[in-house]
Amino acid sequence: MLEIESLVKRFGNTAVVDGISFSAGAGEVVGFVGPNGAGKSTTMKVICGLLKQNSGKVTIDGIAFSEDTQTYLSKLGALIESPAFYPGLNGRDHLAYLARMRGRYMEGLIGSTLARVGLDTDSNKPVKKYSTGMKQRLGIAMAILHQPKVLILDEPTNGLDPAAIVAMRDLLRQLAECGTAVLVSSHLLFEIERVCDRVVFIKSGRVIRDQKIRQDMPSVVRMLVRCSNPEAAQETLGKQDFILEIQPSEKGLVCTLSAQKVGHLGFILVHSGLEILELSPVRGGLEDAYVSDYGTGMREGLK
Amino acid sequence: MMQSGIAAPASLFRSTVAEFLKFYAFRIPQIAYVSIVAFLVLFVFQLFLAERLLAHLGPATVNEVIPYLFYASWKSILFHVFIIAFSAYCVAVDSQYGMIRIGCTQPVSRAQYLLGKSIAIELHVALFALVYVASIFIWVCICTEFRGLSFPGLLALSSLAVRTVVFCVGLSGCMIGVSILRKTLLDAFVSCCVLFVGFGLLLTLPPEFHLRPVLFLRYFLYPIAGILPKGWPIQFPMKDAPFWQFLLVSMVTPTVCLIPAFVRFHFRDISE
Repeated sequence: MLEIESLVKRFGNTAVVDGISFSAGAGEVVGFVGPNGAGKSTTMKVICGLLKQNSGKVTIDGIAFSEDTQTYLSKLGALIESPAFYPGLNGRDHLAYLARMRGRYMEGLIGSTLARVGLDTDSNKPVKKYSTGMKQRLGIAMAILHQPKVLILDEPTNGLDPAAIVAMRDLLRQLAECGTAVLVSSHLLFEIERVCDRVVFIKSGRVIRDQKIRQDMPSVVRMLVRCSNPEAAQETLGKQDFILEIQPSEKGLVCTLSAQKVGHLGFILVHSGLEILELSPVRGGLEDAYVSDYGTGMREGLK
Repeated sequence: MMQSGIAAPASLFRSTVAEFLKFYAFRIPQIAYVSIVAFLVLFVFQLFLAERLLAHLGPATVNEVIPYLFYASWKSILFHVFIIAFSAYCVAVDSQYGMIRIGCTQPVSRAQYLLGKSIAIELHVALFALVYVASIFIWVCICTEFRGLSFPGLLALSSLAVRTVVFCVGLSGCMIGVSILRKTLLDAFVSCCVLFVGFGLLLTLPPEFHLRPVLFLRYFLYPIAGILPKGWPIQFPMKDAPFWQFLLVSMVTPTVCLIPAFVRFHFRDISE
């Protein structure tokens, strides 16, 4: 669906995007993660044809932007950076403008898209009277109006309230189920973790990690066990088959085990007569990966 | 940016229609139509009530009076400033609010996107010019009680309308070309004003300068020449120039402004 090969974009002598390659298949939600200035928005702008790459190739269904612009863009929907609007026009006018531009002026499509993002009741208000979250939702409506095959969303949850974030998550999953390839960047790693199938980490314009989420993450968890008698706890848990690994740490024992056996872990400890002081999941997944990849650099940057 | 031969005109048509109707959604044209009529009321009061023009002219026909109202309102350049502001706004508003990112990710090439926008703006400008001439006609008809209205008179009025439309569209094209090169509304408006003043300064070139007939603003009062009555007291430059020459200058001048703007837009990064 969306293929990016050895993409390079320079501003002057600085390579902001430096040989990025990754893909997003039909029905796949791919997270695009990196610190500020890593090249996420630049990559997305190149995908959308707003910036011209110095080298490399971006294709949608095998079609490059330069080969057949109209076909390429007809398959693409995008919300890049902050959503853009004409302040004096209302939400419906914005969608009508885009629908006419695409040659698919259908009132039903506009109405259903507005309803999909929860803006149907406010569609006749001028955008200048919208809240930040409403503007964000309208931006998403403008991106999905024509039911694109590839959807590019740059920080789509900015300004959304928790309920709208949940709705956004559901919307992305729905779009993916309909076969849309979604590329979404966000700093909300928790959201990325929950909605994405895969995450591409970039740093200084390069992909440093391309990690699957849904298949890998939920099967194994790490739990911190703090007991009154750590030695006895380690001995007891060491005998259990479902414990894959036990690592003593400053805080207690870090046990790696199957996600389905977390309840059993507590049961074993209680039945062994051990007093449990703490039993909590060890922070893991994307956040750990992110901190390990970017943490030092970000702290240095903040200094 | 390649496209099939059939798809390209369709895309251009879609782009033009979308842009044309978008400006109606802005409500600018609707307000402009009312404003043009209202703006002419000021000149009607001045000429017909304050200065008692009809008392001076005697039993003048509609076509004899139209040039006075046209000349008085036209040389105030308020209408031209409106066209300049409208053209600058309609182009630069996209960059100002980031909508250019949305426009350039629609399935049209950048050239079609800009061309559609330019055609839409110029269609609006043509309508403004027609409303302007029609308003003058209606006001004069009311004030002269439709005296001497004839078919040849209407033909002369059509000539005035066509020339006015051509001049306004030409002016608008120049302003669109300059505005495409700018990224904010203020920048675009200031650049357009500078260009207009620059065109005006070119009129001060010495007579030995043989390119004077191609200076766009020398045709500023050319539209009125089609309807001037005999014995009109003021001489205008290029008044007797052939229409094709006026048309050519009115097309070539904006083209000269538009081509570099289109080329730059085609190759530039959309970073706003």
